[in-house]
Amino acid sequence: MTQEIFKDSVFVLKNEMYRFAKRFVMSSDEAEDVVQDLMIKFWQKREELAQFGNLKSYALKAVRNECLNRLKHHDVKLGFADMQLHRSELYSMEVNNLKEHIIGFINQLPEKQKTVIHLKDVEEYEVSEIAEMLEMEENAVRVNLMRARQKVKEQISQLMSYEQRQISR
Amino acid sequence: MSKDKFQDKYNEVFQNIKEEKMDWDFEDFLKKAEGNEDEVQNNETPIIPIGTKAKPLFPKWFWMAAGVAVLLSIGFIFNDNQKNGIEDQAQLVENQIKQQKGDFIEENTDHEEQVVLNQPSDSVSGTKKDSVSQERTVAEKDVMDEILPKRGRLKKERKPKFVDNSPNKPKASEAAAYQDSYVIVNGKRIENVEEAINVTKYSFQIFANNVSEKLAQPKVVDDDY
Repeated sequence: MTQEIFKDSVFVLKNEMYRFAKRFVMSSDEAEDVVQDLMIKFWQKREELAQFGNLKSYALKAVRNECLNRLKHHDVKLGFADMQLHRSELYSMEVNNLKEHIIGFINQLPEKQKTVIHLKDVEEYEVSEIAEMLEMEENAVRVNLMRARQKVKEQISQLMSYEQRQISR
Repeated sequence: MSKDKFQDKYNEVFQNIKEEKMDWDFEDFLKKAEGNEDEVQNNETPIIPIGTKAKPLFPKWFWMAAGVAVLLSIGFIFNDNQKNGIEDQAQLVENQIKQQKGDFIEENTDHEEQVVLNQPSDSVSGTKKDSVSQERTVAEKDVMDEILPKRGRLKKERKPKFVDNSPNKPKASEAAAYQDSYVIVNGKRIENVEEAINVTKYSFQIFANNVSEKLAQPKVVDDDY
């Protein structure tokens, strides 16, 4: 695999991988780290990559596994907890930033719901593709998607009504 | 608040997420990747000494071989000792049998008086002075052997039984022994001294009477003739 082919077929996935990684690791730096590590691994194994039919799906699976591995790591867990604390403090300070609130809420969803809603509503994959990627039944994907959307919408409604009350005062 | 407003907000949030991008050029990536490859190569070079790991393996094999040799030698020594022990025991038993046999022969020197009833072959080689085995192998020719079938004869094989053939007679040792605790008078055993004296006196008295009677009678007879 030449540099050009690698750039066009694998390196272009970096943004997608980064966004997906952010759903798991919570911090932009950590997500960038994950993507960089994976890209270097892909580069080292660029000859073998040609064997995989759906590179996009393979790359996202790799991101998910890498993020889960990192989360399992004790230090990262501690870092995760600190980040959560830090974020909650940050949010309490920036009450008006509704978008950040919602993204934070999405990130706090159960793993399957979070993954499904991201792949469907951000990356715009088909349900069948998501099912294949996450090795789940299509119905299970739909159920998870429905629950995730419901929760996010409830959250949006709560936050918006809170904003309304703040404005009316 | 209408449902559309929620949906708009929802779409807006996800649109924002969609617009997130990673600021990373391919050139930067290539530099990093090549740097990493160099690092990997640099890391690989010092790994080469791992190949010399074969050397420390030698003592391991050496110790294993030494251990096996020690175990084998211990096993050999133990086995040898056991064998010697068995031989010693066999020798001891044989000596004991020979000794007992010698004692038996010494005690029973009167060959004419002894007879063996049924004589199997003697397994212990050595002393064959025994009258039983040399002079009279079988006391009486077993008539039953001719009558009985082979199977019956097999059952008959027993340890030799030795019996004393002589009529009852007091042993020399018994006869020679003098015991002062009693006396025998007229075949009566008397242990009391006074009684013995009385009996003796009485006996002499009777004897004296009889003697006088016997002496008187011939006179009378002589007188008659």
